[in-house]
Amino acid sequence: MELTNQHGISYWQVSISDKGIGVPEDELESIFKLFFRSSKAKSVPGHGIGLAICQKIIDNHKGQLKAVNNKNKGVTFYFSIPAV
Amino acid sequence: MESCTNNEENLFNELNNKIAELEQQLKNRDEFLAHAVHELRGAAHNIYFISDYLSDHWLNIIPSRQQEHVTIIKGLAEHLKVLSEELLDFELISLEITGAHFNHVNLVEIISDSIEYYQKTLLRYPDLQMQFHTNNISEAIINGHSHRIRQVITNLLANAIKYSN
Repeated sequence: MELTNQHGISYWQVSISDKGIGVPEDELESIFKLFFRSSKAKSVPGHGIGLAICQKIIDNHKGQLKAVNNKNKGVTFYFSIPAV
Repeated sequence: MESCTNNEENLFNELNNKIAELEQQLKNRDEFLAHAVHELRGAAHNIYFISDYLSDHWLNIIPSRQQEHVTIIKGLAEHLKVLSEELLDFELISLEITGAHFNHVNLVEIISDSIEYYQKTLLRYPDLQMQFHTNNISEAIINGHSHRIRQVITNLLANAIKYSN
C-alpha cells in the first residue's frame, strides 16, 4: 500500500497492490459494477458487491477509483480523493 | 432571434425537469431496493438462526437424511445473510447524501488503523507480507466520511489478501 499526492497536492492517492491472479484487461472497468465477477475469480468466494460499494463511496467523495494490472503479477487498485 | 432564445429556454427547462424526474425515479428505486433487501435480510437471519439452533441441539437425534438437509439449509441461509447484508450496505450508500457525516479526516491515521487490524489477520498466512509506504507523509487531510473511507481500504486490503493467498 502506498500514499502519494497527485497534481501538486490537490489529490491524495492511495494504491493497494497484490500479487494475486490479476484481472483480464477487458474486465478492468467492469469489476466495479454490481454483481460482476471476474472470469478469473469464479472459484473464489464472493458476490461481486464489495468493489461496487468502494466505487459508490469514492464517487460520493468526488474521487476516482481504478484498477491496473501489474507488470509482473497481480493488480493495483488506485483511489484518489481531493485534498483539503 | 428572440423566439429562438425562448425556444432554447423552453428546451433547457424541459431538460432540467426530465433530469429531476429521472433523479427522483432513481431515488425511489434505491429506496424500494433498500426496503426489499432489509426484509430479505430479516428472513435470512431467522432461517439461519433456526437452522443453527437445529444444528447445535438436534443434529445428533434426527435421521441422517434430515441432518444433511439442516446442514444445507444452514449453508444457504448463511450465504443469503451475507449477500443481503452487503446489498443493504450498497443501497444505504446509494441513498447517502454527499457531504453528510463528512469531516476533516487524516488518511494516514485511517490507513494505519486498517493495517494494524489486518496485521493480526495476516498472522494466519505466514507466506504473506504487507508493506505501507507513506513517502514521509504524516498528514493527508480530506473532507470525508471516515467510516466509509475505512470501508474502502479494508475492502481493498481484504481482496488483496484473498487473491494473494
